[in-house]
Amino acid sequence: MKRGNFALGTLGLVVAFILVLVAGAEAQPIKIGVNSAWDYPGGQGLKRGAEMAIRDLNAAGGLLGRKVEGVFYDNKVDPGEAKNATERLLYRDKVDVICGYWRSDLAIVCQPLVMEAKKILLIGGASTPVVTYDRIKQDYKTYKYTFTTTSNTHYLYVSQEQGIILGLKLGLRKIALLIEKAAWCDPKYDYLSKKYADKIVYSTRFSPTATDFSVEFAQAKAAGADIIEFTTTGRGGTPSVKQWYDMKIPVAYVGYNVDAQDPKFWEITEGKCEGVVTAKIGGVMGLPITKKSIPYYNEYKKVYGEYPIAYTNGVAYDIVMAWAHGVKLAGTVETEAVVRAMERKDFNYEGVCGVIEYFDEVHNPVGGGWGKGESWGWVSFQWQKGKQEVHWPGAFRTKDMIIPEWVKKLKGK
Amino acid sequence: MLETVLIFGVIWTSLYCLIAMGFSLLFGVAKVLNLSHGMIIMGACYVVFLLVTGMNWTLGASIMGGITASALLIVIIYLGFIKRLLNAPHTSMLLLTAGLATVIQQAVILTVGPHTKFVPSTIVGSTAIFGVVLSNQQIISVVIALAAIALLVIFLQRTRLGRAIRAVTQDRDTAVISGINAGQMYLVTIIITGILAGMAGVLVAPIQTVTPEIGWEMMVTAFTVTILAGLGGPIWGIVVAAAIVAYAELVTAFLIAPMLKEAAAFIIMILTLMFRPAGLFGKGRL
Repeated sequence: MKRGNFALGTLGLVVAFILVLVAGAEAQPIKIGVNSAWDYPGGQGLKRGAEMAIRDLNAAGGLLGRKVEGVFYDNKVDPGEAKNATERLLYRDKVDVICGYWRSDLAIVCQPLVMEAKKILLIGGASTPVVTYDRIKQDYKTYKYTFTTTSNTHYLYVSQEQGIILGLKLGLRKIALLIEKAAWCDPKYDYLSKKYADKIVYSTRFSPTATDFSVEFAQAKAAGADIIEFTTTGRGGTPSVKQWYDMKIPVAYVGYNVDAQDPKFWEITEGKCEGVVTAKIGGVMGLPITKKSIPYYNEYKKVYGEYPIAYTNGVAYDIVMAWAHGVKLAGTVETEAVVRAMERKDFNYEGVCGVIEYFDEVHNPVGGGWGKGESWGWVSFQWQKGKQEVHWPGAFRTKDMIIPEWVKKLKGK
Repeated sequence: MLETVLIFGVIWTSLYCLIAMGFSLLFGVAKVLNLSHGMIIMGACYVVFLLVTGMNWTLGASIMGGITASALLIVIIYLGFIKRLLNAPHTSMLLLTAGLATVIQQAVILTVGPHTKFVPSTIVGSTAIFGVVLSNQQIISVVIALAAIALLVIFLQRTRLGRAIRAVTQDRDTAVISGINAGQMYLVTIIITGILAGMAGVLVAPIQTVTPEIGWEMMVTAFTVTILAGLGGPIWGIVVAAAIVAYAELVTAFLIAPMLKEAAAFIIMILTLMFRPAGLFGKGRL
């Protein structure tokens, strides 16, 4: 009897000890590792998006009753730094999930490290198809822990091509391609070159550091182009628009110009950007993409003293919040359970950039006005009288695309 | 098409002249290879940006502020660092000024940030010249650059101070024996260099974007033009060299590929160093 009591008591103590351990573990904060570059608009946007998501989760009482904590590392856009930071987050800080990599090259390098540790990787910015379209599709078992809120570059072109599509509908016929020589632009250049082969009268690539386009513009004009498809994420964005206007090149300026996403672009170019078409994540433009978009836009201004510049803050905010939604559905932060929850057909999270569903087999987001194979979250817009007017997708249209008056006048001559 | 290349060639020739002139002049007079020259130009761009956007100064006042700031910066660099190494070998000076350039660049990144900045145009509107439409900003930049070069030539040729500077350039020891204070001439040259760098900065800033990296790009331009003209060569040699570099870039873009435009300057620099180390009009080799 005594022996039985002793055994029972021992068992009780062991159970109590385990319960204390479990309770202790549950009380530990959930850690989100953020790996980005603070000194670059894209990297800073990602950091701020994650910060706002963590703040909002904690303001709502935490996640599964636990506080959410961010562990931030500045990778300085250096692949070596990014890898070190990833390893520190995984093995020293023991984070539950990693959010990061606005740059595609860093995402490509760091993704295998996170997958090897079987942790969820939330990509907030990088658009390379390698991390999703190539790797997840070809080796789902290894790479299924990767989720993104940025459409891969195969899909991104859908929003960037709208200027050409609508320009052709407006009666413009000949196209000049001026596309930056960058890895992410190569498939776009090939795609447009093939698709519009019979309409292209001039095409060239330029350096991401180029700031003088006088020769390219003069050649496009001499070739009789009606539309210039200008794509750049480099330093040529603003000078190209100023030069196009100053040189009075009588063509419609469309494509993807990152500088033109800036809400201050009208002031920066002294109004010369009238008629310029580019694309941007609509959720960070102050557009009512979802009911959360405008409150987020205003809250961002309150917190950081300026409106969002880079698209990365919106997509980073959304990916962290979508993951948190998956955690709630799974009832745990355990990786496999959360992946299963996020892949569910009924997984549906309304973010600031759009409604997120992950039924696409490569974990690219779909939903909320954008279908499979479309540029989720992106809108195509045109600068008109100092405002960014959206013409695509139709659900968010504020104005139709126009040809600038001065271009029409010069073309008429 | 040809007229576009010809006219834009004039624009870039005049700006390249202004970028390289101070660098070349300082070497000619004091035998100083100042690799922080590009960063001083970049500094002028940032000062104009900060005065216009941060302190709401008028553009005219901001431009004067940018030129003054670059002159002050180079005087501080000269008195604090360069002067102490005047008699040291070129390599010491190159290492010192390259280090200073990095410090200036990092200081800008830390204080203003690495993001691209934009400076508004001094003058708005466009004008057609031989059928090529140019912004009035570009035209005014060419006019100011050419006027600055002309004034510099007049100053060096016609004024007492200018002649003294030339005397130091030609033979320092004889100039000193003749009663010229070489140290003072160095300081005057430094101030002129700073003003020229500042002017280059404020004229280039509204045409291009402003980033901390442009300092090195300006330095490459200044170096290439100076190497091609020849160290210590005449001022008109700088004009010819700037024209060769500018037109080589434009013709490369026009005939071969725009992508290779920036490589043209490097190719010129490499070929000059290999086959004509003294440059086209220089008196000594690097």
